[in-house]
Amino acid sequence: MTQEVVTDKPKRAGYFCIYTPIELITAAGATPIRLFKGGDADTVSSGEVHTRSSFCQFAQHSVGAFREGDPLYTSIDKIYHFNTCDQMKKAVEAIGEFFDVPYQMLCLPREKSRESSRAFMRREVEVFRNDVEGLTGNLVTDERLSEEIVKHNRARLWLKKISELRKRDEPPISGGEFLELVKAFYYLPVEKNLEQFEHFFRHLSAQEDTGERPLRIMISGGIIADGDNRLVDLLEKELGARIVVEDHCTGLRPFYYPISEDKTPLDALSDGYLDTAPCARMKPLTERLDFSEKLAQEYRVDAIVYVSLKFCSCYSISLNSFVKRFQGVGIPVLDISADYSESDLGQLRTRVGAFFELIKKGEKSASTKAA
Amino acid sequence: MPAQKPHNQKVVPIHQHEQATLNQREFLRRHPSSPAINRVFELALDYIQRADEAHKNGQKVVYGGGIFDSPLVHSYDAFPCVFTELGRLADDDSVSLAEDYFQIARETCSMVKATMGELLKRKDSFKRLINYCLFCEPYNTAFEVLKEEGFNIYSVDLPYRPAGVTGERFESLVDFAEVELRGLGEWLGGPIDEDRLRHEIRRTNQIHEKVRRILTLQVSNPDYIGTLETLFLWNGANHHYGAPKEFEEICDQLIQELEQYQASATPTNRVPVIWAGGRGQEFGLYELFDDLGGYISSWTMTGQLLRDFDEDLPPLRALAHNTVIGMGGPGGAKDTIPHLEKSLEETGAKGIIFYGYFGCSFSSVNFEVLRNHFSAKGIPSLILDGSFQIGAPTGQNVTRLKAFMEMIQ
Repeated sequence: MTQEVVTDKPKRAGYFCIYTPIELITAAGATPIRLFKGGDADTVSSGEVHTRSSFCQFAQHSVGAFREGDPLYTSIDKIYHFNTCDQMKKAVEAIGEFFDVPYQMLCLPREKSRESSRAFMRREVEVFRNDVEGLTGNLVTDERLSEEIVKHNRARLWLKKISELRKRDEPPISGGEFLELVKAFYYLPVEKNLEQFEHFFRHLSAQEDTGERPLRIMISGGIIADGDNRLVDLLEKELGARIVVEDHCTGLRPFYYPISEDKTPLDALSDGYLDTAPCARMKPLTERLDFSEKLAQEYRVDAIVYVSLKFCSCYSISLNSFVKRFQGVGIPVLDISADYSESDLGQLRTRVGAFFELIKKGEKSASTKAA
Repeated sequence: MPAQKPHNQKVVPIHQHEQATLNQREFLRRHPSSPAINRVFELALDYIQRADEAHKNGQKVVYGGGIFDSPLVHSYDAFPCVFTELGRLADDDSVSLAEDYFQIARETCSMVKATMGELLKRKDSFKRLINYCLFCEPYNTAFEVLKEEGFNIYSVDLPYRPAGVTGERFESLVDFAEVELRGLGEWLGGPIDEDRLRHEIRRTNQIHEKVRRILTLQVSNPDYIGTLETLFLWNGANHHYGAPKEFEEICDQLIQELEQYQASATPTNRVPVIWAGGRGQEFGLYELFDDLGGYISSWTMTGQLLRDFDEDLPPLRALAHNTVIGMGGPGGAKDTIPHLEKSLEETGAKGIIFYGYFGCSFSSVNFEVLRNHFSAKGIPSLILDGSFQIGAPTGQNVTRLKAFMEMIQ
């Protein structure tokens, strides 16, 4: 039986990775909060107490944020985690163990093209639905879920349209500004975002092109967390380049493909989230490389900055394949193995600066590696 | 007549500085042990060579996990080889090769790099590999990269089992695993021969039983065979180094040796300790542990590996069941606790050593969770970060192990 969602204080469902169908959370009357803060070395150190040193800094930061009592993180009633990489999976287990945060671990298949994987994902999405119903006490009806799919699709579409304005020679929005809109998607109610995104799109569309053409950069690789601004600031504010597209999970990538509105809602969600533009954890790797190349071509990038956080196996081990792919199409790649410390900023500035110089001189084989 | 006590034999001294360059084969052959264990060493050392020879002789050789899949691979008359055993032969050169050729970051888990380096060296001799998706992230990504080198890799999309999952959802995980394993069968050569698979499962269970018997005897007579010897026995408990018949004979021989030794054994003053997690190739560490008066009363991960296949289930279902339970990959950390507690109670172990490979994303949080749990109960534990490939133990690990053993004694 359908219940109206009437609660004084909606439950807050936290999640880390983009493979979590947030439409189910909102359809159940809870508030989805993506937990993707990062960039603070002290919080990383705090998280290291429970994770050891050889652990991805984003995962350490996520654990550290709970340990340090970050108000956003500690306001979460339950974490839902479709297991992506090992490190986030284990980070969630650590959070549950050490901070008594309830969590539900859900399985995410890797071989998404197989029927068996799709059927299994469908069952896991059902587990998710049942759990979030239990959290809120509200049933999720197909009708309500379809409404949420439509609303979130509209928000995704606005973000994609705003991003496409960056295909102009002189993009009316910087990469840093686009990331702020992405944050809004994850932190604010979808209804509010729809209004704002449309407003931004109208405003940005009306800006005239002055004919300048800054160096066009795609950022690819692992997560650029909320608070991890130093690379974006370096590229855009210090070195004058323009990030025109992001091939990572806090940029354009999760908004590229909509969820089907023609299937039954649970099928649409389970297929749609499996078919989202893939992260390096998914198989086959070639599909991810194909998508990266498609984005780079579509946005006519001059070069790619590939970022992998230290101890992130997904993006560090697949780096060489990525570089080879783009060498094949003549787009130079700069690899940066990043962390959240400030100590290597000078070195980073030198390496990126040198890379840009090579590109400006027309060196198509400028692919290099920055420590 | 009682078997000779191997620990009384004169040990050819192996200095720590030598170990870094000493080939694993030389090390083991200079390491005296029981006649049965020496046969295990030989079997282990020739394992990859026999796989290469089988390939040259036209037999299908499949590199896989070697844990739950060996019965399935055997049922296709293929030679099951475990890719982690490739890594066990590896040294720093293989690690460097992987780092250089694939441009893999130095901080990546050494087990994965060692395996990749060895696979690369052999890429012209075989190309069929099984990748189980429940393995760790570095392996999953590494296998994707290896496809570009021409390896024929089949991914079995096995699910992770979150801690505490039971009932209908557990069966859903098994359903998925079963479909995926059926797909693996097709890749191995066509529809699964259920009768043949049942036979292979029965044989594996039979060997499990013998290995468990050895463990019981070894725990009650820990002076007879040392930690390193036991390690090689457990390593082969499921894949049998590709020679199940011979491995089973060796188990019988070792049981006989241990039973004979039991008659003349004197009570031990060795300290029982549980070894949990990985099993690296820093042989000196195991020797040091023995020298410090310890013995391993339970190998937690291996304990899981000795879980019998359920012969009441259809054979493929039994295989799927064991993969999800955790035979082929760790599930949630908390699920390990009951097993560890049972081992502590049964063996009277005085502490737990958690051993992981540096950079291993699986083990790091697991160990912290487990250490936290047992620390609250007053059980001392030690976390060691080691390396997978052969070499001398780090000074830090040596010092910490010494301090730990001194404390629990």
